[in-house]
Amino acid sequence: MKILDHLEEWIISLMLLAMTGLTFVQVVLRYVFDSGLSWAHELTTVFFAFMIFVGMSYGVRVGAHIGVDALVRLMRAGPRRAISVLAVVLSLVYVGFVLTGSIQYVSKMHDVGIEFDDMPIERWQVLIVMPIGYALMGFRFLQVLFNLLTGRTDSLHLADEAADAMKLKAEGDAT
Amino acid sequence: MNTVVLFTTLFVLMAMGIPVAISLGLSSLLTIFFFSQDSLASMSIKLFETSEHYTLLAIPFFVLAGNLMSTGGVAKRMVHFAIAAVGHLRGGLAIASILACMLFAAVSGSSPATVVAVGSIVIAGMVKNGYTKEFAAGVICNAGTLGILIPPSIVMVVYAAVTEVSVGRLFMAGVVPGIMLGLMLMAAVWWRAGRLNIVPPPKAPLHEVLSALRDSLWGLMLLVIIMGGIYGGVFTPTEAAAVSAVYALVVAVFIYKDLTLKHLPEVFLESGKTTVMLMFIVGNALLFAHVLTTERIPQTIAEQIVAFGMSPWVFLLVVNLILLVAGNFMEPTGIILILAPILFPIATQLGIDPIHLGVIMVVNMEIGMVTPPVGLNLFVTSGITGMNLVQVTRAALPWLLVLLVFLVIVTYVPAISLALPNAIFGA
Repeated sequence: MKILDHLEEWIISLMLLAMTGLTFVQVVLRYVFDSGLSWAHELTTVFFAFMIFVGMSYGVRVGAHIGVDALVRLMRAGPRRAISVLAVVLSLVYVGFVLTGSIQYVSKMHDVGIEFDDMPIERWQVLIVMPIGYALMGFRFLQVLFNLLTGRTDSLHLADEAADAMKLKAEGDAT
Repeated sequence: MNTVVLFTTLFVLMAMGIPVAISLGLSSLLTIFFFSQDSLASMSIKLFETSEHYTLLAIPFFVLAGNLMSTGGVAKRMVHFAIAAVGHLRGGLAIASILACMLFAAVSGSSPATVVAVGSIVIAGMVKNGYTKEFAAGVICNAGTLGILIPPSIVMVVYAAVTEVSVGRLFMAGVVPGIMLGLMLMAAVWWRAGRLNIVPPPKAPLHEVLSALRDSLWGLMLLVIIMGGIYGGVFTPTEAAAVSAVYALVVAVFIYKDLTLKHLPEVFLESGKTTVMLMFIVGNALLFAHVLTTERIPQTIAEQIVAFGMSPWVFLLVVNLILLVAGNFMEPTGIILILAPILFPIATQLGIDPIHLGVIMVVNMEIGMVTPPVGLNLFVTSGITGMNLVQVTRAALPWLLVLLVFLVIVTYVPAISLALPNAIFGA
């Protein structure tokens, strides 16, 4: 489990690094050396896709997804737990929908075997990150559901953007 | 019927505390599933296409650049320069804080980040000089909203992506309103500071101003890179964002040395997390917008409004009221993503420039950030001052009036937003 946790974090950070680096190099090549890498843009979007779809499940684990929990917070512990269980189940329904759809799409693309415009890679080989990402997210929601049912938590743990902004600032001050 | 189902599901899901992204996605999928012939596979493609959207690619880069600059000492040097330049005026420290917010907003695309970056430095300083904590907190809380009005702006990138207007144009449209709001806040401070009886620090000698300017020049250069680059057509907003991220990294780590290499992975992970969270909402919102369009919902509303004979003047008033209410309960990206696809076609029919509508929406989002119960800037200000939410809200209230007056002006004088982009890119 620890390995999966760290893997998610590393993929997010490295994809961001790679995207930034690649786009920057592309700009330099184009304007300074008047050349460019034809595959740079497509590869950047591939990195972006990996970051988003792997990052979503990480977002569920660390509670990074924004939601409106004002109403739920007003409730007493019992009803709140019940609503939260329902919320997680509905989230799992969502995951199920997209997982089914993306598996259908990927298998269709696999059968057709279309390649990227500028890269000798078949599209399904990248697209497959989407069902994988959604499966991972489903797994994380199951974890939350388990914690809710066993009474280890009483909410979905939604994001606190304000706290995040200040956390980074505190880290900066510590240096 | 479909419209009712779509929106009712959306609001019920959100009220249950389901993340906004999933609420958007699930309500769209359910509507499609029951009322339309589209396959689940084709819906999934819509979600995947988010990652291939060229304009949206600017978001991770601007988020990263902003985080590198707030941790990397850029804000600190901008504050020093602002104080040296205007600190000696009546209410000087507060005016300098607003100037610092404007400068930081010109390199960062987020409002809460601007409040944290500038506020955590200046509020203590202002209190030490005799300002009340309420005065300091109120000014910063409001001036920080400039983060999304003065380009670059993540909210503007999102608006441009859903409405398919040019990001460069929208960025340029934010420049004049941004400077104007900054000046209006400064004027309000100058007026109010008369009663505070505070002795401003002595006028800094010219060489001190210049040395503070030189110190902050590395950060200010970023402004030149972003605006000059986009304006001069050297690069696209997305490329400008990537260049500024790399530039901010070099400045923070190798020139200012306020950020060590050891801390870089944390900044990358934190930026990645913010990006993923935003993109997850954006992706599902694009799905939502797709359902809206296939069901012809915005067109239907637009036709009714036009048939009803609503004038643009009244329409904009209604838009502002809706946005102000929505701004109280949701965060900016979500509102823009849900409402822009609906408002945009109506505005076009009524002859309102989509760029102008974008600026109006952004200004409304600014106000939403300083009004409870969901006001990101209030939360952040409360965090850095230790005041509670009620105190911060009350402190921010008088300055909020300036924002409201400004909203009316921007809404009914389109030239403030449109003159600059039209002059640069042609009408």
